Amino acid sequence: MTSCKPVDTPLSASSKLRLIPGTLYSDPTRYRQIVEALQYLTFTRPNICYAVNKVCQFMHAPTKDHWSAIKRILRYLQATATYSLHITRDSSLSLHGFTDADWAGSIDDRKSTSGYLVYLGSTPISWKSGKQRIVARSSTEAEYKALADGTAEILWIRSLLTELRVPSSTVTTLWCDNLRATFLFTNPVFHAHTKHVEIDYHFVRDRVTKQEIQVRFISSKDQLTDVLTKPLPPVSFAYFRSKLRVESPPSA
Amino acid sequence: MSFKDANMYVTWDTAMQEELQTLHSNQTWTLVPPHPTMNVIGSRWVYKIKRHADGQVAQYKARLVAHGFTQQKGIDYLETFSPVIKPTTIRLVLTIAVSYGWTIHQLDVHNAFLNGILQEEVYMVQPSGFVDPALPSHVCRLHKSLYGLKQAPRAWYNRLSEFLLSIGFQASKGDTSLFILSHNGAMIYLLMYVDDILLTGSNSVVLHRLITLLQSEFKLRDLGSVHFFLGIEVKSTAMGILLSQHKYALDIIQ
Repeated sequence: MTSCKPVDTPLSASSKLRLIPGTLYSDPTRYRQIVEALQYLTFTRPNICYAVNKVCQFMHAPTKDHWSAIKRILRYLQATATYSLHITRDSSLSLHGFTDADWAGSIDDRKSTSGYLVYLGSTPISWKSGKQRIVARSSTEAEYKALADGTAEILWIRSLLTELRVPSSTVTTLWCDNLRATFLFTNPVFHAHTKHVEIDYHFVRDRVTKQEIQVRFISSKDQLTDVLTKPLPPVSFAYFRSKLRVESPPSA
Repeated sequence: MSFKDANMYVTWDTAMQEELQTLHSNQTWTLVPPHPTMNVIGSRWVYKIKRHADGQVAQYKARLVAHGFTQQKGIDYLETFSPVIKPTTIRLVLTIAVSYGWTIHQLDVHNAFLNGILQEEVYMVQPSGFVDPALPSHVCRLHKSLYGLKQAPRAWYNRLSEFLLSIGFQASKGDTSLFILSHNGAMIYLLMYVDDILLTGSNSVVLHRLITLLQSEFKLRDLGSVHFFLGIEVKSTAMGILLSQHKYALDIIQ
């Protein structure tokens, strides 16, 4: 596989991978082994997290299309093997996060994909991309779920920072590009229809009231979690990659 | 290579003698008469040639490995869970250390798992080729851990964490593989991942004193500033450090 043509994104922007149909891939064990190896690679590469999570969703019954998606990730890796995560000095060490949801993004079951990304100073330290477990009936519902996941992660990191006695900002900002969702956290007028949505909503809202977290609006073009929730064309993928501090090392 | 093959070479014979010497001085087992109620597990020799970066042979290593797969739950092992550090914790601690300009030391524990103290009664056959001629039918009652035992990672984790707590560290509630020491205004962080240890902190005098203290308890080397851990290369830059999985990525592609 060393002589194949390099690509500049791990997943085609028009990718519509789905569970069925297609011919089953002949060597599912190999598929699973590579997916597991790729998962560890996201330790230093948040930018490929979405693509890796995507191929992971078909581990139980990979088809030839899914195998082609794996091969594309490997071709991307070949072109970017030396890319590294740059941990940089920052005097502020302020904690802030981004959350986003791609509503009903999965063609197979219309579940949404959520993603969060947490920075300490200018370094991303935590990220996740994954399909939500419950079907969201509106984009706001999907956004609540993503916000609740991001909030849980931030609370955990805040507790670690306290234990490490690192002075950090009193309130952590969570950026989200769904205006309706941000309004709802500042104005306690709420009309949720189902219990699980209420739980996500109140979980975040409690932390907002306690002034541990604030949810702020950010325009979609500055939303850094796009790369964790959808496939992107090369130009935007490269933009997010640099924002995620995945860099090609200076030639020595 | 099997024991039969290795036994014909002096180098491997020496390597096995060295391993037994280590186990002996570690008081790993005592010989006891066998009893029909005992679950006596097997063992085998594993041979490995360790090389320097230039390909030169560094060491012929023979390791005695217990047949953990013949252990029975509730008889010779109870708990096997050993905490695994979360990637976020590692990146968090590295970011803090880089921002404060602290040196990140990497420590290497020699034969880490052999340090574990066994809570359970574990019996093993005498190692092939080295059966005590005076007590040939006796079996080894293990007191310390061996590689291959189901509880080996956990026993090592318990041993190290107990020692760290005894010298003033506190275990983090958020991640049990993170230990924190606060001493006269100095802050020290320790991350453990099996036998890989990262140690960093605000006061280098305290840091070196801790390394000496750890060395008095375990056979451990200070590898200096971290370059390679968990398969990740660490390189310094003008602004901080680069974490690279270059070799790992190439291995996946091949």
